Amino acid sequence: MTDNDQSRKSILRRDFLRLSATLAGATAAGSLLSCAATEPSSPAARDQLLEQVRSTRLNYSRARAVPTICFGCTTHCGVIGWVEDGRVKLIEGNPLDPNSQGTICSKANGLISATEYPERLLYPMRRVGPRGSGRWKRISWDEALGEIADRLRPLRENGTPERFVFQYGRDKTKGFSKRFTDAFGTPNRLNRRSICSSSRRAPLMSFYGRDFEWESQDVENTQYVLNFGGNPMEAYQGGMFMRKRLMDAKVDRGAKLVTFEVRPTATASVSDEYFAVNPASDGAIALAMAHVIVREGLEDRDFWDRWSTWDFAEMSAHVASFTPEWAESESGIPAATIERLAKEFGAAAPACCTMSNRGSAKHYNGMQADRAIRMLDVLVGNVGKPGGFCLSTLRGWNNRYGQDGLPVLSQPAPKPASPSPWKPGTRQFETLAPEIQERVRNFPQMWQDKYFGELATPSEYPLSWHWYSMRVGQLVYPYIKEGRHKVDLYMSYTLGAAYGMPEANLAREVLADESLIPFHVAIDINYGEQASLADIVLPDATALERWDAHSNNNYGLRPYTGIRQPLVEPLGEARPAQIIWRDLARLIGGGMEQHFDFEDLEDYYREWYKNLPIDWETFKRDGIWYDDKRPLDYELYDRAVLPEHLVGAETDPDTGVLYQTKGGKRKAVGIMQDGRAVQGFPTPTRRIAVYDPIFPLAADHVGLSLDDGNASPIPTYHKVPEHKNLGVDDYILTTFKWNVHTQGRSAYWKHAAEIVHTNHAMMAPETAVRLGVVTGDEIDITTYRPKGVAYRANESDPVGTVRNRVRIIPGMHPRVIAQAHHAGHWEHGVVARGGDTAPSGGSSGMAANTPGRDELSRQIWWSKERGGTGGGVAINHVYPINAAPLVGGQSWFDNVCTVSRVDAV
Amino acid sequence: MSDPTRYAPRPAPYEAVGKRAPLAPDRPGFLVDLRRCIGCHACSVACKTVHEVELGSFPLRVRWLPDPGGDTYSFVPVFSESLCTDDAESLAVGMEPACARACPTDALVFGDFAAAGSLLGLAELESDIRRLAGPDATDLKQEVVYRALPEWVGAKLNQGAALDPKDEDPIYEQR
Ligand code: SF4
Ligand code: SF4
Ligand code: SF4
Repeated sequence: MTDNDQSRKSILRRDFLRLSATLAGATAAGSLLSCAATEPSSPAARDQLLEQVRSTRLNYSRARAVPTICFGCTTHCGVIGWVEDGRVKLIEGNPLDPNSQGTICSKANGLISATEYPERLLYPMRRVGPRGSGRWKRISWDEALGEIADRLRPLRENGTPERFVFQYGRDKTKGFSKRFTDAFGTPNRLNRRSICSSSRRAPLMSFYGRDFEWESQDVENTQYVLNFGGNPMEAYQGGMFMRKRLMDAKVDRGAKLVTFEVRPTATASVSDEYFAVNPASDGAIALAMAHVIVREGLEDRDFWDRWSTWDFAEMSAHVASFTPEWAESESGIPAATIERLAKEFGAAAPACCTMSNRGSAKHYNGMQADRAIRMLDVLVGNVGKPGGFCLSTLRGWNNRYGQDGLPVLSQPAPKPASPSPWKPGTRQFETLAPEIQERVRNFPQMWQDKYFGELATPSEYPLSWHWYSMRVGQLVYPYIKEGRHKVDLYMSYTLGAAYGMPEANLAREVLADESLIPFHVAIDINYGEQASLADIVLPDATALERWDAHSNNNYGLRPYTGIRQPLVEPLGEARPAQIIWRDLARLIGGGMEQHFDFEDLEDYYREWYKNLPIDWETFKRDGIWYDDKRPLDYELYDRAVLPEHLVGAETDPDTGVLYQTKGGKRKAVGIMQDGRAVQGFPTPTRRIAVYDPIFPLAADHVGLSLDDGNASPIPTYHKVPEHKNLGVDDYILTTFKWNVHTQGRSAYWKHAAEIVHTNHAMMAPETAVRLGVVTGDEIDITTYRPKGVAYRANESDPVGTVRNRVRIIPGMHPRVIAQAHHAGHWEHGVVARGGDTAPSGGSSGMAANTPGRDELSRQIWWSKERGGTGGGVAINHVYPINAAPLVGGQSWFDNVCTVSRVDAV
Repeated sequence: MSDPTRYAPRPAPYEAVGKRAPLAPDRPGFLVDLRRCIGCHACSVACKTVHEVELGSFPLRVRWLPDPGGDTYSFVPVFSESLCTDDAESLAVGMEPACARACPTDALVFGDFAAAGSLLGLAELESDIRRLAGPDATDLKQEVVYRALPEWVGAKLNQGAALDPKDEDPIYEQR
């Protein structure tokens, strides 16, 4: 990089704003900042502000425009950073990105706030007081990595590598951390996908046979979208790519968007129709719509017969009982409305599609709800059609490297073998509790071959690892506490479990307990709640300072790839995580180092991409590559089987499925349709598994009753057990994310925090009347355990109580209380803490840039000191751990709670 | 696809910056198409980032206004008469101001109302166009023209009420 590192570092000392004195004065006067007014209070203040706006302009002619990939959230938009004087001054969209189409959201520029945050982690640190006391000392990288390597090496040498447990929150190094854990030999590369997307990915994998980070509806060409609890205008990963396409479709072509939600989101607001539905009733609506479509003959019978695994007559009989009148009683949506919408949807086919996300999926019945929703697309035959439910590149380009005319990915250094499964007779297997051994012994071979102990592959949740390793992240701490797995060294990477997991207090309890977690290394870019419970903290580089390879599912329906590249050098002594793992591997030695034999990360990624049909410099210049001559990914299933898959292939005469046997393994590669060998879907049947026997099979093996809806092979509706007999004073406590935030990771980004810094308890006006409260009143919200098959289900003691203030929101469902989940931090520095500079037990030990922090804290007009709200309320400890059966997705939105008014004294 | 009649194409990253012809509109201004706005704040944050505007001040601020009697919101980006400048640095290199470049849905577009056939020139001929009235509106370096501005929002804006984000906006808190 050509940037002047010195001037970049000087921002640590630099006054961010020359007008601080004036502004502080204005604050004291109470007019300018305390109400966050847009207009300055006096002509003098106005002139000074104007002068500032003028004088800090970016000089575009001097600046370099460098493309990279945003990491403000996991959507990964192609962006351009304007770099001047060693600083990134503005992020905007990269128009070459076929997925984002050059669009960004407000969070993109949060990367600059994060990179320049005065309290950011800049040096390795070793704790000096008891764990969690917040007393730290700065140590050198040599010291830090030396100690960690010395602790890890014996585990590997003694044959107990699984006692090294790695868990990540945001790892987009595309296999790099897996290179490290595989080379080390531990299967315990854990994540937090179950609190995120697993409940909606599992139904997609069941139906369509591969992991999709998200589906890729062709909204650009659609006429009708039925949205069940998705919020693409604000929050929905991947859905961010839909915003422009959907708004263009609506405004320019009159497409219709219908949204079912429990609160008025931005997506609900731009929808043509918005319905506040009873929580967890989306599946009932979808099944009733299927009922109407079949009754009215609006189905695409040919498509269904060709591609679905379920007999049409059986399906018709099944949906016959799910009448719109029944769905009205479940959902609160009038039967006539359900009927009308179903007919509109069917009439628009195939240029129509469903959309769903957390709103439908994060429930005890969410997996079946999403299967019922997905069935609507199959029923009207819009799958893979222009304007329909498209699947694009089957999760990004990575899955298709080397196939279908795409370049082969190159391995920059030998790829390590993955650890071997824990089979009966292996040392690891013998350490398991007898009942777990018994369960695993009875598993079908396909699961025995993938079993790696209770953290990586919890035996009670086989569908969390049947398709690929989604894990059940919210059970990691309870399992460690119960002694299901022994940990010697726990490494967390960009993980905020101590703040954001359900029952976050349990996570903290386990993290604080040295008998359960003898050593904790936290790698992150900022000092958060997780790092505060570590023994060694290592500073990661931000997205503006690092390399990563990127590809994901493209709404533009063409495989593409992009490169994240450093715009500036890491601040302080921060290092990209890949370099941390490389250096650790070299220090641990014992053969690990051979997998990390590369000079630097540019070398690594240059090698990775060496088969791209463009040269490296051009790739770096553009940031994105795709083949714009390639046909769009419509009807992939109808394409001819690739010639290499036909070699030696045999057709099953009963099913028409084509099998190829390679290396002793028999694999379905296509299906015969009208005498043609076509690819079909990547499921075992090459059809869409609307009927999927995997659910009753899994239920049978974990002792889940076949009466539980989760065990059903066909899409069905089953009421959330704890919602069955709700008392008149019971409410459903839900949680959400505002459009300017990215879960618990953005509270310290100043512009995001300025827009949203609190998380009041939102409720409908009629709810407030019932409770006798008005906006601003304090309430206590008490939550209870779930009643289905779940962790500590049916225990009668409350999970916890949180005190919050009321915010009345017209348009909310009257049974729902909603709190945003990203406020109320007690770490992450002064911005995240709403201006609170009192030592929290953690930040005091930081190598913080104190003048920068003081300057920034003077600007926090919402601090309590200035009569503002402060930084909100920590709420995540009252949400019970509630992993739905089989897949283990967290049922975030099922929580039954009671609410009581806190009377003023 | 971007509208071909749009005033300024978005820059490709590899184009030589500073070599593009400057934008010199006769009647510079913003077209704010509220049919497209999703209330995302990208415009406001881009402006505040590039101009390093301190917390508490907003050359451009996005409001979520509850629809009267309804159950959802209308989104309205509101320019500050006194703090929004004309972003000459961007215009000098042929780009729209940073706020408009950040808008993901083309709800906020900068251009020339005098250019016949341009997006702004054409929009001005539509019937659902409204200008800000009020004492300060003429202070802006450029015109701000709203498309599909609800009557009740217009009335608020003209009273200056929307500039005080006190109670109704779900994002801004009272206490
Ligand atoms: S959606 Fe926003 S934060 Fe996420 S990657 Fe795209 S621009 Fe960045
Ligand atoms: S024109 Fe410039 S100052 Fe005005 S809102 Fe846009 S970016 Fe901000
Ligand atoms: S004008 Fe554009 S950038 Fe601004 S809030 Fe609306 S959609 Fe977002």
